This record gives sequence, C-alpha cells and structure tokens, in this order.
Amino acid sequence: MTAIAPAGGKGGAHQGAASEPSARVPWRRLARITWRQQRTALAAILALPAVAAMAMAVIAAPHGGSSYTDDPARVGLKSAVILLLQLTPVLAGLFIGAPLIAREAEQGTLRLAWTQGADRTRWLLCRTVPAMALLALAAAGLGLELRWWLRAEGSTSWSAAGQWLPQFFNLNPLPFAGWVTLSFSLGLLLGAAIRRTVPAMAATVGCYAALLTATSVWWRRAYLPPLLRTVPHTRIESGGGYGYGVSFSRVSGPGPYMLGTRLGWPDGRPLSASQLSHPAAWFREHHIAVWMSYQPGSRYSTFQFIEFGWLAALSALLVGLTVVVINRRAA
Amino acid sequence: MFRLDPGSGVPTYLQLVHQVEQSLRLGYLKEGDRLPTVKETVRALAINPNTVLKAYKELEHKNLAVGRPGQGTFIAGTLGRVGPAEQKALREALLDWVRTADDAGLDAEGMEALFASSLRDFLDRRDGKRPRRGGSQAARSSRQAGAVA
Amino acid sequence: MNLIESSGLAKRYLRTWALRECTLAIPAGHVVALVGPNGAGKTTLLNLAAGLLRPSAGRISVLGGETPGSDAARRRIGFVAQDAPLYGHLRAGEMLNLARNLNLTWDEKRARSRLADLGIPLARKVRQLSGGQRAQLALTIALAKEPDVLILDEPLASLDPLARHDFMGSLMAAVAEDGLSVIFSSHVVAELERIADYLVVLNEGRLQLAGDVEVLLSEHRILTGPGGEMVLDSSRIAVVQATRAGAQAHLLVRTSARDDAAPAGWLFSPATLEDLVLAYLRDPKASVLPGPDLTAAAEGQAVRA
Repeated sequence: MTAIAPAGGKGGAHQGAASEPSARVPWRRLARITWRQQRTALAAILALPAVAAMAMAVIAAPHGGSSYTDDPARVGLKSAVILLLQLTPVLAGLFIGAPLIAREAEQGTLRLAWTQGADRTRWLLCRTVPAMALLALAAAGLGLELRWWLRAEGSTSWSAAGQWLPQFFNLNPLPFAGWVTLSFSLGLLLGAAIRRTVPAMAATVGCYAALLTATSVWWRRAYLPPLLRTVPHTRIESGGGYGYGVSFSRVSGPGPYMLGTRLGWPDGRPLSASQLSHPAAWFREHHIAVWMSYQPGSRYSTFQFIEFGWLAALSALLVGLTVVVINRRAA
Repeated sequence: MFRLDPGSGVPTYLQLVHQVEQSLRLGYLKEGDRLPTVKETVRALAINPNTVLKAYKELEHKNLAVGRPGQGTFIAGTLGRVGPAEQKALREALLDWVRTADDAGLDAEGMEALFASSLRDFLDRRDGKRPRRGGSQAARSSRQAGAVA
Repeated sequence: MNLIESSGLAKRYLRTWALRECTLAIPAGHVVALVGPNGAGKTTLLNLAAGLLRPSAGRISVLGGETPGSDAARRRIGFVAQDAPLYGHLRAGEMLNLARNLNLTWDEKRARSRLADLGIPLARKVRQLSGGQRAQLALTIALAKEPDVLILDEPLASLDPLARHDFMGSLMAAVAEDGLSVIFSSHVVAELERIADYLVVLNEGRLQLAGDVEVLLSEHRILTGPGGEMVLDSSRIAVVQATRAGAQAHLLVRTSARDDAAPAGWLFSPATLEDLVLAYLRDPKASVLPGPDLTAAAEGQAVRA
C-alpha cells in the first residue's frame, strides 16, 4: 500500500512522484536530515562510554603497590560515581527525549516540519528509532564497562552478595539499556503531550523516578515466584524471635536476593500473629521452622533479561502512544 | 519603467495604460518596442499580475499593443498625434478659459472639478453612455432615515 | 476549484471560540487577502486549512475536496506560518536541504537562484539573517516544493517597508510565473488594494465579508454630506456604516444601482478597499457575503438602521 517514491535524490527535476497518491517521502531522505539535526546529541551519547572508560581506568588503576581497597578516598570516589551513574538514564529522557517535540513546539518549527510532504508518523519515527537504538547500544556498552570496573581488583562493593542491590543491578548492561530507552520514550511522550520543554523535563524526571523506585523496591522481587526453604539450626525463642546458626547462603547457594524470613509450619504455611506468642517448647513440638524467601543467584541473568524485556516493551508502547498523540493534536 | 500614484484614486491598471500612452506621446516608446513582462512589472511594483494583464488587454483593445505568445507584448500602433502648432493653440484657449474662471472667482480645485466633470460628461455622451438622471431620487412609499453617527 | 471550502467551521480553545460559523468558498486562481484585527481568527483559519489544527465543529476542505493535513493537501500547499519559522542553527543552504528531503517535489535550481538573486548567502546561519531575509527564505522553501497554493500567515508583520515591498514584488512575480493561488493574512489594510483580488474579512471569529475585490468595490460607495436625517430607498441602498467627521457625515453604502444620483446635498464617491474594510471592521454585526442581490429586495419594505 505504501509506495516509496523512486530515488528522490535527482536534484531539481520535477518528479511525477507526487502525482502518485500513496507516494511517501523515502526513509533514506528523512534519515539524512535526522542525522544533520541530531548529530551533536548522538555523538555526545556515543562519546560518553568512551570518556567513562577512560575515567574508570584512571580511578581503578593501582597506585604504587597498594591494593585498591586500602585507599579510602578512592573507595569513596567509586561510591560517589556509582551513585551518580544511577542518574544517567534519566538524562536520556531529559535532554534528548523531552525536548525532541516540546522544543520544536515552543519554537514554532513544528508548523514548518508538519506542513511538508513527509507525514508526522514518518517524521517522528525517523527521529526516534535510530536515536533510541543508539542510546540502547551505548548504554549496554557503558554497562559492560561498569561491570568490569566494579569487579576490578575484587572490590568488596561488588560481590555475589551485593549484586542484587539496586544501585548495582541497574548498572548491568541489559537493565541499563532498558532504563535508558524507557527514559527516552517517557520524555518523548511527555514532551509530545505537554508541548513545553521544562514542564516535560520535570514530568519525565518525576515519572522515571517513580517507576525506578517501584521497580527497585517491589516489582523486581517478583519477576519469578520466589523460592521458599527452611533454614536449619535456628533457635526459636518464646514470643517468636529467632536466631540463626548458619549463613543463608548455605541454604540458597551463592548470591541470593533475600526477600524475607518468617516463621512457618513444616508445610510452609505462615504462623498467625496469635500463634507467635507461644513458648519456645511449643515451637519445637510443632516443628516450626524459619522459612526464607529468596531469588537464587542463578536467576541473576534471567532477571536482567526480564527487566530489559518489559522496559523495552514499555518503551515501544510509549513511542506508539506518541505517534497517536502527535497525529491527533494540533501543532 | 512604471510608477504608481497610490493616492490618485485612478485604478492601477488605468495608470499603467496612461503611462504607456504618455510614453508613446513623448516618443519614449515606438512601434515594435517590447513592453516589460508581467513578471518584471509586478516584481518592481508589487501589484497583482491580473492588473498588468488587464492593462495590457486594454492597450490591445485600444490597438496600441499586441501580445505575441511566448515573446511578450509589443507596441503596435500609435496615438493620434496632435501637432505642436495645434497643441499651442489649444493651450492658449485653455489659458483663456482659466483666466475667465479665475475672474469669476473659481479657485484651482473648483476649476479642476469643473473640468473633470465636463470631460466626463463629454466622454459619456460621445461614447454613447446613458446620461445621468438629474434630480433627487425621492423615496416612494418606503423611507429610511439615514441616522448619522 | 475552490481553494478553501468550509461549512459551519468553528474552532475552540478551552472556553474561547476563536472561529465560529465560518462558511466560505474561496475560489482558486486569485490572490486572496484575509484581513481582520488581531485575534479575529485569521491564524486559526489558516492553520485549519494547513492541517495543523482540527476543527471543533463544521467541515473544511482545501484544493477541491482534499482534507487539510492529508498527504495530498500537504504536498500541494506551501505554508509559511506566522513569524516564518525556520531552524535557527542551520545554515540557509542546510535549511534548503532539510526542506528538500521532506518533500517529494522540489525545484532545487530555482530555490538556489532565487536566494542568489535576493542576496541571501547559503553559508550563513538562519539566526543571523535579517527578518526580511528569513521571510524570503521561508517563501523560497514554500515555492520550491511547487505547490498549487501558497498560504502565508502575516508574512509582512515584522518587515520594514522596503522588505515588505521586495517580498510582495517577489511573491507577485512568482504568481505571474507559476499561476499560483495565494492566500495571505494581514492586519494592515492600506497596501492590499494593489495586490489582492479576493477579500475575506474576519472579525471576532466571524466571517464578515467575502468576495471578489472588483465586485465588492463596484457595489460599495461612499456617500458624503451634511448630517441629519436623510431619505434613502432601502430596496436599492443599504447603509453599512456611518461616521461623522466634523460637520460632515460619511456613509458607506452598498448599492447595486450604479447610476442613481445622490440625495440632495449629498455626493457619491467611489470607495477604496481600505474604506470598505475599515467600515465593516468598525461594525462587527455588518456582513456581506456573496449571494443576496439587493435589487431583489421587496420595494416598500421599511428597514430599521
């Protein structure tokens, strides 16, 4: 149904292409102008991993003979960098996604862009999809560099135990790429809906922060049903308090994501509140055990894929919604 | 080549016609000369092309110009020239009239108005138009009070 | 073919109606002036025709039945929005490239030669061009896509008189060359008469006047005389607007009886386009739309002024 017009690069010749009712402006030409308009931003995005790699090499390089962890200043610097890096995905939405449409609306150039031969959907997709793909790739690259860097020299901040911490999970290549594309598409949609750059940026930050917090604190725990195991050698006291005799990893294996512990019957059912106030002997008698709920370390990669999956799907949905919004509304 | 007088009240196309005629009279334009293209004229004067087309059509109608498709519009005829001696005599007659009018107390604008309306009447009559109805047009059974702001 | 055809067209922004009950049929092949004071709805109407806005009520079609904003309409319309929006950080030549890649038809040679004639250097950034040069660049882009009609929203607004003259001359030359139709909006009436041959007047969101300039001017005249009561035959003459200047009164009247003499003590004179527009603008209730024939009005009917 969509007939792409024959090679339109023939300079000034008056083409008969326009008389073909379904002729559309070819993607190739739109790509050319997208590059011209976005090249600075895209170059900056690509440069970021390169710059970061150099910075990391500097910070991680051993000084003299001392081990990295002996230098508290560098440990502190590393922690600071990790915290800062949490913010980087939102920059994609703030500085590339939100202004994409909002700035053109404010400056009035939408009234130029949307009255030419190319339709709005094509115009939007051309300026969005390549940028998003490039962002995802750069983010994945940055994530790989970070993974190397954070594990360099056996730094204790990244360990099998600490890998599930939000600030580390988020920096893995797949989740990082997912959050960057989500941030971008969120900014894009909000910019298209609000049409003013600064309010759109603020809304992007707000929505992104809410989503990230919700994911880190709640949703990520439940991507797959958690495993339940009893912890051996525990001592349950009267009133329901308990102490551990072994480390959890003996039960769960290395690198688990601990979701919680509670008292429960042998079949796993939790105790009710009233039942907690029994004496220790009662617990022993009924073989009450300490149950622990966790995601095993073996699922770490799987969870990254799941997170990337739903983030990518949501990003695509947001871009689709943006197409709807720009076609429905005025310039 | 053309100049417009926006305040004169004369329609633009007529001004163009008159300027061509004046140029013919004064000898600036001769038979066979090409008039400026519509495009050149409208670019210089910033007027609607139809106006120029109308002017050129009027010149054709007066047998002063002829349009050749693809080439332009060319002067094709001449105005009836009035010889210099005759022009001098007419000038004298006109000056006499002006003196008389001045003695009668008519001012310059009055003279111009009188001349303009007489010329109009003469041309109307000569060209066979219906003479203007004299007298006021009184209302018949309907009246409209013209309320004046 | 009609350039713009609308029926009951209306547009609302939140609570305000920017345009109401606009029923128009503007024929192609004209230079159309859309006039009215600021806020009259001119930009709204032009944006609706360009497909940048959707109507709140009513219908509008352009270029003989196309939907505004559709592929066919966008291709055939060269639109220059208010303040001639361009990308400031691009150079003039890059701006041309951008527009060329956004369109299916494009006359690059003509665009470049036009800019050369106008003395606009291709290497200069758009934001460094003067207001007049930016307007000319925007017009060049609109012309280069070889449209059937140009829609220009207040193209002269920020131009000095010389730039205005150059712009209009340049525009008229393009009309002469390509046989384009043009519709442009303006809130300055004085210079329209030489340029427009079709007039549309909007006032407070409503259509007041629409018609061929020659026809409108032949139907309207100024009646000047002393104030006071006067008797007019309402079947032949309708008073559009009356103003007083000192001891004199001027009425703008609409009449189809060209040869009637003026009432005693009064004088007819031809109306200019400016007289016409100003008189209608002063009275938002007055309207003349093509159609009703005055002489068909019944004789003997009293009309309250």
